Amino acid sequence: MSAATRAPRLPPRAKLRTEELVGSAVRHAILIVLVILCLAPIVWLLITAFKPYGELFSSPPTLFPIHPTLVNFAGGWSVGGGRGIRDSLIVATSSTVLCLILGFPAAYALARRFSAHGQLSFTILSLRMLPPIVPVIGFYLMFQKLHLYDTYIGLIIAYTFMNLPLVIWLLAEFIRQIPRSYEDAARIDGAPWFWMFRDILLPLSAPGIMTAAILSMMFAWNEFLFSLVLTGDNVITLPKALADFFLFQEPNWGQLGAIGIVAMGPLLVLSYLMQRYLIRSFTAELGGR
Amino acid sequence: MADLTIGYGKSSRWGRKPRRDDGVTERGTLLLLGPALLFLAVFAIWPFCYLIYASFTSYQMAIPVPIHWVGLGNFQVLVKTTRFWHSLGVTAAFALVSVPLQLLIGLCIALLLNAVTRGREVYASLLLTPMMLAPIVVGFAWELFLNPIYGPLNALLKGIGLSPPAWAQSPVWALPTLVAVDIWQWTPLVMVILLAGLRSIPPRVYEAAKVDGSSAVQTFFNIVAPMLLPYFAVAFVLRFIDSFKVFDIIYILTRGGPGTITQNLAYYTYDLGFGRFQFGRSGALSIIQLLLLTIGTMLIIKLVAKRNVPTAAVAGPAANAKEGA
Repeated sequence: MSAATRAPRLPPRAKLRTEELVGSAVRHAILIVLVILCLAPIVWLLITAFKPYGELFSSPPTLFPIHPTLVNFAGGWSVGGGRGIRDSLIVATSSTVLCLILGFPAAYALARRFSAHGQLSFTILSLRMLPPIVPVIGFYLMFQKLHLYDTYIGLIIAYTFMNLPLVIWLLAEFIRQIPRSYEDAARIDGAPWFWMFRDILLPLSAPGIMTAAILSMMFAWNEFLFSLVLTGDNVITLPKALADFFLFQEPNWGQLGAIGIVAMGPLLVLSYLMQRYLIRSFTAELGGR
Repeated sequence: MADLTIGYGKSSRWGRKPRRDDGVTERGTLLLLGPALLFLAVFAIWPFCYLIYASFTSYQMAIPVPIHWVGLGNFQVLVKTTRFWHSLGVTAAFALVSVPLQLLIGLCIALLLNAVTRGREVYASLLLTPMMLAPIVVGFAWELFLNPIYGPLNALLKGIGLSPPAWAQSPVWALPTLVAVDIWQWTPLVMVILLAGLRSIPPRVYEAAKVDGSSAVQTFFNIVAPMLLPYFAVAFVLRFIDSFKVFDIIYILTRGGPGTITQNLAYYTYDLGFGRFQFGRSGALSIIQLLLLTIGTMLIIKLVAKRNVPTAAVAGPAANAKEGA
């Protein structure tokens, strides 16, 4: 929409062409600057991961490592990164499986029996609006009483509580798009409910289940406050390992960057592939309205 | 569960009405929904009872004195402290400064992207990177990036002759720095929602406006803005709700400091509860937050959307995200 098009009489074609080109070049230039702004701190962390210890604290800093090294990856792994990845995997995977087992039947019932914008859908989703600091105090006091503090089970429960509303909502939205006639046909043919589930519902909703599973994994993997409060020395998830590493030791930025990359790299690649669904999940909080 | 399999249209052996044509019986619904609802109810209500109980008592974990009922005492004490009002101000800085700036910048970038034809998807994907990252990693990346001694930003600024502050460690700049990091991380979400809104406007609308001699500015305010409003409302409400959740970046970048300058309500609640084990006050504070958040969200929905946020706007970003991103 260049301003030139406003005039009812069109300007000579050559002039229009130049203006368009300049406008387009300016737009691309601004966008490239924005992309650089978006990526700069992350890229810097990435570069730092390959710097040897001596180069980390040089002032002014070196743009590229003079002696690139991989020692930070080994060091980061042994200093707590490996432990963090293990515990995060345990907690994130278990809570995701639990979310799917509880969530899929509920989503099916919700999709087939309730309106997408009804009271029940909204109530379930509104749990996701809570600022996590509110449930976390209650969870802490409760877990102290139940001896679930600093256990895998406790954290798995907390993450399931956090992710289940989203999983139900996403799956219900997905199941609503599956034509009901498939199920009806199976039922008329006299198929038991389990067959219908296994042969029709499960294969058809597999992409939805994958999406919900990956998102739930991702949120549990990134979550910090719950693991900070609800666990001590027994369970140390990755974000907590990173925070401990930073706050209670001399910050070795190379190792920290290395852990960050190993922990976030696969996730980032995945999230580029799943952007569409990720955005949907961020906007889910209003989906029940 | 066997009930689910009974033939189509037959009346149930439980003497209820025949199944509806959706194929799931009353009892089937209950069995399917039950476990999940039970789980959510138990782990929403039970901890919440502890929270309510704590907020009306002198619950302090570290001190072995008997717990007694103090009624609204915790709330009264809190409201009298300057720390409470200060932390409220910090939360307001995120909700009322950071969020509007995100909306404004997000809108500009969305308009820019909408005007670009080549490479839009690549730009959008790259620009979305910040919101894909764990907040804790974002905190570390910025901590390193802004470090006054060996960070690249200050080295660059010194290189061009400026004398930059110590950002997160400076009393003046700590809060603006956190707000900037929040804007950096979450503007992409606003951008992608608004871009989906812009993409949903058919090209013939622009063509019609052009034929009628409407200028770019007129087209924006008279045609694009009203059509974008529902998307805008969604972004506003989402970001408002999330602005109360800011915690991780404060924990990493400033730890609420210097002093208590950058403690928002969430961080103050955390500090009261898990720094000093005053669960009574911490619980009371979290209830205050919940009330503020609810009232604020209602107000915004009234203000921006007049009626409820239209459903189309919610389905829109989801359905159009692929197109937009």
